[in-house]
Amino acid sequence: MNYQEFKDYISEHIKEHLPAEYQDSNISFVSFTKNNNTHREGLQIQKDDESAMPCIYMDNFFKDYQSGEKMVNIMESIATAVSSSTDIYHGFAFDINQISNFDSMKNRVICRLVNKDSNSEILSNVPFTPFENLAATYHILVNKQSDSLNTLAISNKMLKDYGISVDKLHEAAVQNMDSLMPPKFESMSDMLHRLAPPGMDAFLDNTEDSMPLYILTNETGIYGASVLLNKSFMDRVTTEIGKDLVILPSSVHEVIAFPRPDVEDDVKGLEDIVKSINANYLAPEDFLSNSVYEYHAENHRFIQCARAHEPAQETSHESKQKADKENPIKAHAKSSRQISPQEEISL
Amino acid sequence: MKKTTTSIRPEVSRDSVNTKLQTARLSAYAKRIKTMTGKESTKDELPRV
Repeated sequence: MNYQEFKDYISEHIKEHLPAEYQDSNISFVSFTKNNNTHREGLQIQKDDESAMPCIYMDNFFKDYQSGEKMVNIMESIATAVSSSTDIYHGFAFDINQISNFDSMKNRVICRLVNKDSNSEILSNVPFTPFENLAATYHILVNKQSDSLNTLAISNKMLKDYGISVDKLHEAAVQNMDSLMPPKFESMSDMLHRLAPPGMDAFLDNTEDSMPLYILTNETGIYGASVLLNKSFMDRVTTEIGKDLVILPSSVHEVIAFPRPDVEDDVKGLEDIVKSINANYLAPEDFLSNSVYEYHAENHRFIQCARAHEPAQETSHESKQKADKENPIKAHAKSSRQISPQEEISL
Repeated sequence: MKKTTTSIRPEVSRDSVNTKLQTARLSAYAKRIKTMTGKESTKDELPRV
């Protein structure tokens, strides 16, 4: 079977493997745009009386099929995934029907940092805050486990339902960071020793007495680059390291920081390193940026090294906040213009 | 009025392939930055993943 025939087979036969409660459900395949304009296709099974539905990604199941797994086993695995996904959202600590109510959701709002240019399609449908050449997007934390997250992207339609500005959303997300996605930093050497799977000793960093490198991320290690938005955390890092920082965008999940050299370093050389490693050691969906950044402790300034000699200016978020305070009516009208209705909400 | 639906899908989960790639990536950064700043010789080439 090719992929289309594989999907057709699943559509026709999946109900044979599902409990009776699913026999009248609607089955469809939906393609979702993920980070950096990558796409994944999922099987959706919607029951008439439910406002939420599970979606099971097909790519790994098709790989199993191509590797020789029997279809009957694949169908059973998909059915198990449907049941466990349903159990997850039935076990939510909040009513999923309240997702349009900001007061019910505000303590669950988190943010992610992604590349602005390579996410133009997603960013046309969601509220975001520019952060240098990156963008902060907003999500509702549905479920958190040690190594995975269930999140719901906040769309323009949801923001319209909330009746708040993007700045208010950003404020809530940053406030929730310490409690929902606690930031952390550790030395490169410690992280490599903790992460390295068996057989990868050759990758371990054994030069502990040389230049210190630090990994900044969050406790789950998922979309941990967003810790750059947390000023109090960044100040803690600079206090601990004792200097301004150079920041390398390792991925959307983690960034690398090291003390900014006293002598001007070769920014072009660092950019070449970032580009080369992004090309060879990074999955497309995890790409964050090809730029090198600095963080200045004194004025909490995060900036691309290439622009570091420009005079300090307010960040777009700070200047927008100031403008909103000066003219809240104009600010509301401005944020409303960005909103377009979107029926489908992707996670 | 059309009903608004919400799809519930698992988000990023860290599997062994990602961990391997992440380990290789961070190690590559460590080696190359230290080489560039003169804290390590260039003799150690990284294995490919």
